[in-house]
Amino acid sequence: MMPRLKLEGVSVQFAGLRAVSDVSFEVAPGQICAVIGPNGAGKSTLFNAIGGYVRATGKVYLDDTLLSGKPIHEIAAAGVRRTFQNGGLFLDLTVIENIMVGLHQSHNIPLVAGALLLPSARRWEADAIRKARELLDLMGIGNLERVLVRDLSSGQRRIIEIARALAVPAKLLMLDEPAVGLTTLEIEHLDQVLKSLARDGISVLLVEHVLDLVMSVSDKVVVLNSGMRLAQGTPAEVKQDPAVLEAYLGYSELC
Amino acid sequence: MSDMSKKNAGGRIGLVVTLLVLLLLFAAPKFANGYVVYILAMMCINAMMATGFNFVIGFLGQLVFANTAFFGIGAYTYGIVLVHTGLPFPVAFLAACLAGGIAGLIVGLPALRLTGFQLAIVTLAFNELMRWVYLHSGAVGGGASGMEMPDAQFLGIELIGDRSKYIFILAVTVIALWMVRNIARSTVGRAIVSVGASELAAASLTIPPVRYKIAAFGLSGFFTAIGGAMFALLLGRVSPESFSLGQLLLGFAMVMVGGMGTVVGPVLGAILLTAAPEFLRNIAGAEEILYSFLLIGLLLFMPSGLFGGLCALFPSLRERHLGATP
Amino acid sequence: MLGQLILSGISQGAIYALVALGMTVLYRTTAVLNFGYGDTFMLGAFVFYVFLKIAGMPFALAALMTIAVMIIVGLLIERLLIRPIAARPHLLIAMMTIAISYMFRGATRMIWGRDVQPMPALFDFPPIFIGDMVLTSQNVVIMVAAALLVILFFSFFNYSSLGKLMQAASHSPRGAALIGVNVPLFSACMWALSVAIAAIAGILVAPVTLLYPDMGAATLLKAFAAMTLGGFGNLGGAVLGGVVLGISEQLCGGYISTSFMDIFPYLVILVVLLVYPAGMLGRAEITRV
Repeated sequence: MMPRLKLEGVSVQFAGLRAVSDVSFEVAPGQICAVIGPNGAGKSTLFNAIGGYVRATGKVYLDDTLLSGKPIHEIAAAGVRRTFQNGGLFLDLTVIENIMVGLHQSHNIPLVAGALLLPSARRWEADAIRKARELLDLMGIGNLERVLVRDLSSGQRRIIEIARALAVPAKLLMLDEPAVGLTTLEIEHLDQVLKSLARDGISVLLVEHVLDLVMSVSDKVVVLNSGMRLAQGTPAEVKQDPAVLEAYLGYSELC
Repeated sequence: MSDMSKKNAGGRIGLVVTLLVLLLLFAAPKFANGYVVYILAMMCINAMMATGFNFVIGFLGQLVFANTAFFGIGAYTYGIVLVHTGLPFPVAFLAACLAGGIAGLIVGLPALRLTGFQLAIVTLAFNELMRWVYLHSGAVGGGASGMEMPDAQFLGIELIGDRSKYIFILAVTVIALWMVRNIARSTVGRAIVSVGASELAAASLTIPPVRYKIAAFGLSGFFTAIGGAMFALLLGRVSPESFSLGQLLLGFAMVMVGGMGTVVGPVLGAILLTAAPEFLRNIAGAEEILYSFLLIGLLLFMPSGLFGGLCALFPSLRERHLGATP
Repeated sequence: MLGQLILSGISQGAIYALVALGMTVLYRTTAVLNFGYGDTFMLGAFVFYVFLKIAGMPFALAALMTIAVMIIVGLLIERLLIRPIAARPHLLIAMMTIAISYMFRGATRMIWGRDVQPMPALFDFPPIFIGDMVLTSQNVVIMVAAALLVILFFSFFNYSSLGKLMQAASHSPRGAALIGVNVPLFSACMWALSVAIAAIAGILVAPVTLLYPDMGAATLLKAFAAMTLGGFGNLGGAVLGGVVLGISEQLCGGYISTSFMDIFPYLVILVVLLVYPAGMLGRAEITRV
């Protein structure tokens, strides 16, 4: 079976610093893969390389489409979605408006039709609103529809960001430290959300420090250190890998 | 359920109020004197200019000073087409709007490569350059003394005198603002706002930032030029002084006072600041001092402008970026 | 004629260089682009005019008083108008500087309307003749004073501890804050310095120019042109850009036409930013906001 995501020798060079060095791995469809490693290991940079936010060498494939070298919005259109560490939500828009932006790909009403409020535009908009509401109800936050994102907690924002990213079906969801600032209950909820996404065939790639979540939710773990791939395997395998243990010496969570 | 019907009731009240106000405005020439009608017409024109400006400075969030240039391009294109080509009024008017839109698109292109401040400076320079062009427009544009325009005819009705011109201007303004409102509540409006808020986040949702930045500029030029053409129509002439730095800052103040990034804000600001200068005109420097205090006060205490402040008090007033829900 | 044009150009350019330098100093150290700087310069010239002509003070005293008054104005602005919104988006701070420019212009207009104030020639020394070129005493004063100021500034920037701090801050304002720099105090100092430079430029130019409240706007654009030409954000570039702008403007006026001189700075801005935004000494990388 073709891997959903395939990295071949991906490297990222910033002036003088090799942030990511010749990283290769695969993620299967419907698989949850976590990328972990000490601070500065290059995890976020790797994310940015896949999404097109940073220039990289090497090849990145989504199914059989080459992503490398494409601009961010084209990579997104191919089916790669992500969340951001500092929250990429539009703070001054409401929850449902954020979701509507997420529906841009499927509900792109032309300018003139929208300006003149033509029947086709009206129908399309109504359909988008209906879909957005369905999504919010599915996530159990239908009541937050008209709330400004600025007024929400981190946990709520995280869920909405994921909802927005998946408003139009995606093939790969990349989550950048989704558990930061979440309560234990919220992390459990996130765990369930991710597992249900995987069941629907969406591949998930996450960068995470909260190792409890990593261990419980991931099918596969990739360990980075100093920009290089140190190990990969199931959570159990990685936990016992001597090279990983050495890199993490001092990390009490793994032991 | 009662929450929904409350919101519908609110929406219905808003609609009734709007219709009443419009009725009053259209009937104004019957009972108001010529001066008031002129002021109302100027309010519409300024509302159009401020609205156009808002596309870039409010929705897209970029400091751009090209609006007076677009205003002037609208006015001069209208005048030049009407005077030199003999084409009928509607064509001249349309040409002005399109010229503005194209100018917007052209100005938008370098915007993609320049940083925020460089863009501000380039558009400032562009503005002054256009004014020099008007001054040296010689036989075509009338140069320093400007250009007189023949009377216009629309659908068989002679647009002579402030009253008939006002009705036309008001009608165009209402339609244009309706279009802007629709755009803000549709895909394009949302895309522009999201690119302005966070280019990377927007791109991650398949929105190409380049396309929507240029779109914002094009729309800005288009709507501002509508104001410019109406301005030329109202005055019956154009001359370079109308498109100075002072005009630029006035438009800027209007958007700030009313509230950036909303549809109502620039209109509100235009209404307030069109009326104000009339009684300040006699005292030298008073206008400028007033504007400076106004802007300073707003920036310190209410950066979202008067409408923004109102929305903070009454959250239900906030303009949705959502099409009408069925 | 070429020599004369170049000489006038250097004299003119010296003023542009100072204004551009003052604006760049503030921009590099506090990331604020002061759109009111042209009007600050105008205010400095008018304040000098008041002290010199109306109060009848001798030149040196009037100059010192002007600088002192303008520094106080600068500090007040920084404290009351800029600092409260320092954390807000740059867009808003830029708008504040625009509001400030309005205030200065309105204030001078209230007193002097749209009239133009001539100043008497300050220095009665006979002009210097070099070949068939003429150097008026005003030109000499401007060039010498500007040169001295620039040398003084760069020595201060490179060798004093405040100067070193400025260098650090210009690389990374946030980094400077992190290492314990007293940001508000530093910001106040930078505003004082920037405004003082504008005041000095105003003092130098007042005797050779007609003063009118709208002169700030034109100067602002010339300063922008100088900064753009020399490399936006580069201190040396600001000075170089100013001098080059002054010279090329004069050459343009002399060999092409004087009406063309009016738009020369705008053309410079447009051409440089559209073709090679880095300018002469700027960094080649183009950063998008």
